[in-house]
Amino acid sequence: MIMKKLYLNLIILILSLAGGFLNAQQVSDKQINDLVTVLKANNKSEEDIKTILNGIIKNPELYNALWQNFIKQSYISENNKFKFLNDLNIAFKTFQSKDSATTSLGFTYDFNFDYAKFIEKENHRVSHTFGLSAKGNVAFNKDANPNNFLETKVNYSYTHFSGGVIRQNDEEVFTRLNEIEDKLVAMKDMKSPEALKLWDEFGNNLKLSDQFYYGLSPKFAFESNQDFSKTQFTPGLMIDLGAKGWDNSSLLSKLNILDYPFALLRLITGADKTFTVYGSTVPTLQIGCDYVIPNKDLVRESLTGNKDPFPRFRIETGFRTFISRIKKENIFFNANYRFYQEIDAPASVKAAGLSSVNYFVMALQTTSGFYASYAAGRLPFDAKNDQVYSLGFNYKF
Amino acid sequence: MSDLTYYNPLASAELRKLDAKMIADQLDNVFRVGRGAKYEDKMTRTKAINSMVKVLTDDTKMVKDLAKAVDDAYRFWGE
Repeated sequence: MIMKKLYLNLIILILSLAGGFLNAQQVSDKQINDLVTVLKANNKSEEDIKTILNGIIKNPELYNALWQNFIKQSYISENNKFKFLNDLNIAFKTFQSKDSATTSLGFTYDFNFDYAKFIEKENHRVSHTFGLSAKGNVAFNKDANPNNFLETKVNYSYTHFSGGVIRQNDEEVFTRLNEIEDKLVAMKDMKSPEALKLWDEFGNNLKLSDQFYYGLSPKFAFESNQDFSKTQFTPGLMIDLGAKGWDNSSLLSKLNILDYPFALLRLITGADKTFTVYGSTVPTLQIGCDYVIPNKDLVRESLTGNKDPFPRFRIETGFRTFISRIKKENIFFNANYRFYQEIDAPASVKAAGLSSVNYFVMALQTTSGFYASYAAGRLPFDAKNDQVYSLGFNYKF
Repeated sequence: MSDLTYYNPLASAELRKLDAKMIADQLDNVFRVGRGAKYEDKMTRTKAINSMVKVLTDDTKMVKDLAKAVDDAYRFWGE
C-alpha cells in the first residue's frame, strides 16, 4: 500500500516537473494517454493501470496542487475580482471515520475576510474590525464526513492591545542597534562567543515585555450540516483573549504550563541548552455565548417537541509549539480544541447526549511536510463521537 | 509562514488571524519604539499592520515576502 502511494505521488511529481500538471485543463487526455503508454511499456496489466489512474483521481494532493496553482494564477493576473481568494484556505483530503470502511474525497474550507482599522493611543493600541468568515468540512460522500459542521458569520470586533516593548529608545540606542545588526550580518557563526556577546548587547538595548490583547465581537452566524438538513442561526458575543511573553524569563512565560513537556523535550534533544518555556506560545482563546435559533433540526424537534431558541456557551483554543530540530527538520506540535455547552438544556436533550459536545485535534508536523494527527469528539451537528487518525506527507508544490 | 511557530494549521483562520495581528502589532512596536523607524510617506499604522497580517496569514508566503511588506511600510533609522 505504501509503495502504491509512493508510486502515485512520484507520477504526480514527475508530471508537475514536466510542466503538465499546473491546471485542470492541462490534465488532458494526451497526458493520461502518455501515462498509459509509459505504464504499458513497463508491462503493467490493464487492471494495474486502472488502479493507478483511479488512485490519481482520488488523491487529494492532485486537487491541492490544482487549487494552489489557481491561487497563484490569480496573483499573477492581478485581477481584483480574485483578490478575495487570498483569504480563502482550501485543503482537499480523504475522509474516513473510525467505524466505517467508507472513504471519500472532500475538502475543508476556511475563509476569513475583514476590514481592520488600527489606532494608536497613549498607552495602548486598539483596532476596529468588520469581518466575514466561513469554515467547514465537505465530503463528496456525506456519510464519510466525521466533522459535518459548517459555520458562516459576520461580526464586528473591538480589540485592545497593550505591552510589547518596555521603553522608547533614543537616537543613540537606535544607532548602536544598527551597528550591532551590521556586525551580526557579516558573521558566519551566529553562536560564536563574539556573536553571542553582540546578541546580549542587542537584547539589553531592546527589552521586550509581555503583550496582551482582548477583543469583544458581537456576531451573527449561520450553522448547518453539509446537506443543510440541519440549520440554525446563532447571534452572540465572542471574547478573544491573547497574551505573548516575549521575554522567556517573564512570569507569563513561566505560567505557560502547556509548553513544559515540550521545553523538556527541547532540552533532552539539545534543541535548547537550558529548560526554556516559550512565552510566545501561550494559547489564544475565544470564549462566547450564542443565542441559538433552530431553523431545521428534526432531531431536536423530536426530542423537545418544539424549535424554541436556547442559549449556548462555547470555547475555542489553539496551541502550537516547537519540539525539536533533527538535522534540518523542525518538528512542531499543534492542537485545537472546541467546546459547546447548551445552557439549562431540557432533560430530553441531555439524555440524548446533545447538550454538550467537544472536538479535539492534535498533530505532529515537520517542515518538510510529514504529519501524524489524531482527532476525537464531535461538533454540534455531527451524529456521533468519532476518532480519526491520519498519517501522511504534504508536498509543497 | 507555515514553518514559523505562531502558525497553527489546526486552528481556525480566525484564531490564526488573531495571532497574526498580535505579531504584526508587536513588529510595529519593535520597529518604531525600539528601533526608531517611521512610516513611509502616505503609509499609516492601519496600512502597515494590514499588509503584514496579509503575509502572516498566508501559508504560501516566505519570510522574504514579510520583509518586503515591512520595507514598503517603514523607513528605518539611518535608512
